[in-house]
Amino acid sequence: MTATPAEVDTALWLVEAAKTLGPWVLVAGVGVYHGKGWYDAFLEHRRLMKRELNRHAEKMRKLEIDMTRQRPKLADKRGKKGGEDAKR
Amino acid sequence: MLSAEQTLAWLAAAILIAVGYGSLWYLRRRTNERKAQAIASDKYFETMEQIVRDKETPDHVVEVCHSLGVALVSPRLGRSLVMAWLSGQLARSDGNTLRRELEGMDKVALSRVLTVFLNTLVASTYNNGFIGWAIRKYVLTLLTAVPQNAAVVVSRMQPQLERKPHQPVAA
Repeated sequence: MTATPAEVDTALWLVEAAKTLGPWVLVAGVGVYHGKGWYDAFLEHRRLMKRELNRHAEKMRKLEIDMTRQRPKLADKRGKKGGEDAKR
Repeated sequence: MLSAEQTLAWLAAAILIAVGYGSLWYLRRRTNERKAQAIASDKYFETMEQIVRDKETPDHVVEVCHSLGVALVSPRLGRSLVMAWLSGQLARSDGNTLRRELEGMDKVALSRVLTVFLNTLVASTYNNGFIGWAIRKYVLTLLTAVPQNAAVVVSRMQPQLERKPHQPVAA
């Protein structure tokens, strides 16, 4: 079986198109395949970071209160109301 | 054969894909690091509760431990550690007032304080994804051999930890 000149032309055009468009098709394919995973990982990381910052702020506040109650002298030194004020 | 434009296009595509995979790997690693940071941070607050209630622990040491709380979510301590390590300050440090003060404490209180120091240092390294692993690998391994050295590191870093009000972040 011998290819006609038109078939040869088409094959050559296809090879050339693959060489030119191939990389972008590959990028698009990888993007579609992993895109959602990437976005989910990004959201998860952001969520954890914010949660950690909020948890830290909350725990630091509790620690401040605890220190003011347990260490009135230290609280007075740091300008916080400690001792009898904290009990009230 | 590929023409020059086609070669460039394949190269650009390869770089794009590599960057995509790289950032995905980095994001997943940071997510795991945040989880590890939460564990170290919890340990800090748990031990701080005991330290604050223990009347034997001197007020000055409690103050130092408390001021370190800021470092748990601040990248400053990690950066300072690297600078101190690169400039050789860590290697040269072999004694200071805080360390001497700790030597006078009983073993239980001392182990609590060192737990706070080490957990703060470990947690702060997770704030920086690029140099954090280097600090854990090269700096903190020095401290695990001699935990008392954590006091030297902490006292060196302490002036750089200015106190700031803690603002919650919108979820």
